[in-house]
Amino acid sequence: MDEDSLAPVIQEIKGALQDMDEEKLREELNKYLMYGINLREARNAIIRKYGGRPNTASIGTLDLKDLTGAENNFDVIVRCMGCSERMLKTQNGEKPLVIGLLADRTMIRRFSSWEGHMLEKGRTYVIHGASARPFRGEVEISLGPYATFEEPEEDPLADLDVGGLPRYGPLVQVKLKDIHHGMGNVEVVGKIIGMEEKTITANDSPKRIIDGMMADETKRLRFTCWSELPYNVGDVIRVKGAYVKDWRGIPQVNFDERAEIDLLEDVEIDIEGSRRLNAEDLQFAGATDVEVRGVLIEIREGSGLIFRCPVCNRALTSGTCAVHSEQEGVPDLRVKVVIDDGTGSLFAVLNTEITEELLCMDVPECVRKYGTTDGRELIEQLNKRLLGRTFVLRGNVIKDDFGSTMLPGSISEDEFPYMDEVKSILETMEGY
Amino acid sequence: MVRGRETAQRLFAVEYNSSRFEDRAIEENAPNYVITPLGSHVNRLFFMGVLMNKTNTGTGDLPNFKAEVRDPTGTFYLYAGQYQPQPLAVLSHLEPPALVGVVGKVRTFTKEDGTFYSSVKPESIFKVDVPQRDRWVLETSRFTLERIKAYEDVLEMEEPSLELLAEKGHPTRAGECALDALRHYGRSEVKAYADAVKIALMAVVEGNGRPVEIGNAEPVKEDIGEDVKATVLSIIKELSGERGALYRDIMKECEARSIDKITLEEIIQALLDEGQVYEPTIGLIKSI
Repeated sequence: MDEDSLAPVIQEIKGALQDMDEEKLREELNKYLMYGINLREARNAIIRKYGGRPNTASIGTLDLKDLTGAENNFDVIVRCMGCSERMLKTQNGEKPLVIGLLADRTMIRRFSSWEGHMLEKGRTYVIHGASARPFRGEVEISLGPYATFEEPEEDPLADLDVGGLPRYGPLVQVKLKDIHHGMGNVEVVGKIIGMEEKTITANDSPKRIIDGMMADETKRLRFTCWSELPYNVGDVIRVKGAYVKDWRGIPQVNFDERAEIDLLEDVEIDIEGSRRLNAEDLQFAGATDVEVRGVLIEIREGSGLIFRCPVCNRALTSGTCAVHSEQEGVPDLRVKVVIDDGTGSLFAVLNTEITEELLCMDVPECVRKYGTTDGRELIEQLNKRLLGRTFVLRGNVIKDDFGSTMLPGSISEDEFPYMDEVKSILETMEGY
Repeated sequence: MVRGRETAQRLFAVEYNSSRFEDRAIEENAPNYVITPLGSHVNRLFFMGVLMNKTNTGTGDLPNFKAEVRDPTGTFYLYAGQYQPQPLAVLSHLEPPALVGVVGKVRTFTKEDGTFYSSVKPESIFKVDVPQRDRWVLETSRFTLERIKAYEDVLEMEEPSLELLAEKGHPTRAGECALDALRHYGRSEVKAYADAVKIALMAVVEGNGRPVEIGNAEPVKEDIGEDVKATVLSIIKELSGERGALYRDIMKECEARSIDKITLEEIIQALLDEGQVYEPTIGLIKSI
């Protein structure tokens, strides 16, 4: 290995140890390398050998754009662009997590800290002992217990204009169906199919935003524009630099004055099919007001006649609410099902009205008939009526750790005519 | 990360039964997959067909059902034990023949000589009507053709990749299958599966709303002829060891004499029906 590439490493080792001779270190390092040990391990071994802590040896000041997610213990000079604390439930109880955005002259990245390192928005810091790690496909800066902060008297980033900086992650072009939570910097093209102005309270002051729906060939999604949007319903726009927020697993496109928004006058998008989705397109992201056609292949536990807690509406288990203990239950009907269309599957919870319709029986009648039974007979009825049949379900799909769940507002059996399609496929197969 | 629910794959019996590989989980609770010749990774599957017969191999307290469900292309073999209460309950009451739908998980068995068998552990069995079955055939044909077409394009490519397949308009799911088919089975013939799709769709057209099943109503199509049947029977006798002849070996021998898989299945079904041969265990055929 040539001497030049060793020099910075030797400086690092020297920095981590006290009063070491540079020549001696070079000799040591070469020895390790001769045994085929890689540079990083050799560095750590030498630091340890002389009583140092390899992790406390900074690898120097880095630019945010150069981080790959594997760096430990480096310095950054950054401005905090925002920071908030939230409580996260972990195995050991609740723990505060600080998350926020940092900017330097090269880009904007997220940071997180379990150590409660709150930074002040707009202030510039020299941070020592930061580390980088991959998070949801992006690189995030982690501020651990060894991180220390300096506030320089003269702000080295005083003239920084964050507006033009790339956000974390490279700009990716995506179709709406491929958008999911955690994406930082996306380019989308969509037709505005609805929008309204709203005033909300942000940081204790009123702010005007535009709330709307956009659609492309693949899906329709809610969007929020935090700045002016001089376009109308029906216009096709391209947004470069949008970011994604998430509500109950349903992604929403967000953008503000930092995004580049263009009107595409000559582009027509066929949004006819944007409401009908395959189950596979809903595995990683929820959706608002969509249709799925699939076969009902399973009726799950907790279906049929249930009794709800009069206080919180939770379903009771043997007359007991998980929160409010024993209760006189309020009867209700629901069916929890699995819908599978061959590309993927999702859970769906059929509400009272839909269940009543499917059973041709309302809740009081059901209570009269099955109120005192173990409910198996009712499930048997549902099995006979529903299993193996094809349905079109329409409604919202929420997504959590256990998968995607549809809460259909309506459901209808799809007895589509098939003979014509069967014949036309046979015609196309003449060549086989 | 919570694993997503396994999709119930749509595929015909001939594709499922021709599988020779599986992706067995090493990690606990991870799913097993059967990899079909068209590259489908099957953990859960969904099919419809005629319940041909059922046998209770268990005892009164611990019933254990073995059943056969025939689609237009072949037979799915089902095994339901005490941990499949719903299928057990249905099978104990339902009299064959009956048109049923089945959702189930893969069940595999590899013999010492390496012969691989794939059968089904049902999760639920339910009665269906003819239009439902016909819609299943249509849907399954669509998915099968999608895999066939992607695989054919993969065979044309020097360096096949998902991107190239996407450019040709294949959905990602079909592209992934095609690449896996090539990886596991190499370059192989897909005509049998295209034929299966054709036969299945024809059955829908010819049945015209009636539950016509090739294996049920007409065990052997007239055009197959007695001499082919005699050939198959002699092949079985030739290959028979003490316990019978391996289905796979019979298939190979028949392929060499250009008797295709589906015809073979039909003939063997006919021979079984006529009592000329019997099946001591799955995959073994023995002449009387």
